[in-house]
Amino acid sequence: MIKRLFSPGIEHKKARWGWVFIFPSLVFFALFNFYPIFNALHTSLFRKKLLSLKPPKFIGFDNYIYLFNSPDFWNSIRATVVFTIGTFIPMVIFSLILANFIISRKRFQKFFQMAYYSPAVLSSVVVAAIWLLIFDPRGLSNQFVNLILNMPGIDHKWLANSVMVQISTMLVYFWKYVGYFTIIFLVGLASIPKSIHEAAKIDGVNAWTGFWYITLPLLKPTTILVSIMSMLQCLKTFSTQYLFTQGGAPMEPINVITLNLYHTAIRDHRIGLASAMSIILFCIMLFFTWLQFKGSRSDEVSY
Amino acid sequence: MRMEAAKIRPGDVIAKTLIWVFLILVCIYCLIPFAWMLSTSLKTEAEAFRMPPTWIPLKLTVDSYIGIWVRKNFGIYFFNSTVISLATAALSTFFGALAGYGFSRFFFKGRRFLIGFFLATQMLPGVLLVGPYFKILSKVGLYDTRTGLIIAFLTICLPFSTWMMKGFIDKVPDELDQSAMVDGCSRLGIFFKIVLPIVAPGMVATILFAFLLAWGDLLWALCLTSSEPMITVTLGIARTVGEFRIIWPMLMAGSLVGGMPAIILYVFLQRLLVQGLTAGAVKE
Repeated sequence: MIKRLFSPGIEHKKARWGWVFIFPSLVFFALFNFYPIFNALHTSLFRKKLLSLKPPKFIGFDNYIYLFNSPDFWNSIRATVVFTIGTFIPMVIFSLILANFIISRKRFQKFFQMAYYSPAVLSSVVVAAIWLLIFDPRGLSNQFVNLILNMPGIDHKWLANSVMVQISTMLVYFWKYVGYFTIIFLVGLASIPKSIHEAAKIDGVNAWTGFWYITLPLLKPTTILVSIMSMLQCLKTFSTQYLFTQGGAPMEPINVITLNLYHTAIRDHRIGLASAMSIILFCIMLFFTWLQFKGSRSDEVSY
Repeated sequence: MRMEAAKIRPGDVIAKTLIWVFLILVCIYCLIPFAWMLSTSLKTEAEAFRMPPTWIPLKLTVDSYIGIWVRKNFGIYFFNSTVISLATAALSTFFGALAGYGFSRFFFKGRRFLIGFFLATQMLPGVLLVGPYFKILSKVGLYDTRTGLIIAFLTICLPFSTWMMKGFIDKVPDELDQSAMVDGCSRLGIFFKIVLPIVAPGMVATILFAFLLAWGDLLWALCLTSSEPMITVTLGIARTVGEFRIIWPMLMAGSLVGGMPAIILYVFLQRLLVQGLTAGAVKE
């Protein structure tokens, strides 16, 4: 062991080059990623106000205790959970269905892919702005729903009613990301060898049974990947809710953790409290990331 | 073939038609907001909420498009966004390529751990770092500057650029490196003269992604800048939404112009984008 450390063998020399290539990114990470995270952890134990000259006071876990007793924070957790579950489950199901439908068509595959993915390239701000216009009481969504239900002149309060505004944010997010996950499913589908489906067809398996007993089990890794990715995406949501509240929607029903965090840190300057909040969110997301790693490793499929 | 032809049943035809109808309906759902944005941006303010809605404006006008440059500071916003996004994209792709090469070729101790770490940071929500960043950047005098914003975006982009570039470099056979080594090429020489040119399309894809990420961000711009000359396009749009009275045609014109770079890049480089998307997301 000691000999290996001191003798500059080829492997050792090679390893050193590895560090050389990674070094710039690593330094950057240490400075701008690890340090801020530890800083947040540290700050979360203090009562500290931004820009105030008073020295921060060490209060231990009081910030966390305060948060867990604060109805406002619990409301944020509720809003985040409702939004995440209400968005990612339909998203996974729909993108799975869409990908299967697209790949079963012989023509226009590229066209559908492009059309479905197009909302994903827009920034969330632009997306939210467009949908604010559509959800306006005089806007397209009311007219459309009333046309279908054939009851003109009814305002469905897309942005005013506390239930409707939650559904609205989900619709916006769904619109933006469904194509993105459809494409990931398409890649997963394309990696399943054609011979399997052909063999099934010869054996007289119909489309539905084939999907349920062949495609779906083989797609399991992709499905897990998409589920966790979309879940993490939903937990991170900020712009949609921010713009909606700026546009006059009520804050409480859509006050997700990220929005609450932003207000606590930047508007109220309660940086210690905000740090505690971000650590909690970090733990939640770390848990799901870990789950993704575990899921993607144990579910290798061999064809 | 013969069997298939004999087996067409009315049920199949109905299923097929239903699938087409469904696909087309979703297509309309995806594309209508784009059309509505374009249509509204070309209307007068009075016509924006006309009932019934008009898809082709009765009175076509480009006043809103002039207005965003003249009555609003869209020129400044656009300039800021362009500078910041370009710098972020270039830097993160370059450093990402370096690190990606390191991870792809050298099996040093702690490699797996570091890769895991890079991936984990990719999952970090930006909002987490907002507080500490605000503090740090204020301390070193980079609050409310473009440089500060570039650093913040780099933090977000770097892990994912590294991951994407590693995916592309993995596909380049190691034998190429070795034969170049035999010919006396240095490690850096191999990286710059052999590997980078081969993964050029992948680099373009990575640059695109980083650019779009930086271009579309709101949170960092909101937290790390405050004065009018530093505002980015997204922040400009967000502030317009927050105004007392929203002039919709103008907001839509601004959104369209703000979304334009992304739309153009997407239309022309769609194949690359999809390739990059899958390189980062799907494991080999």
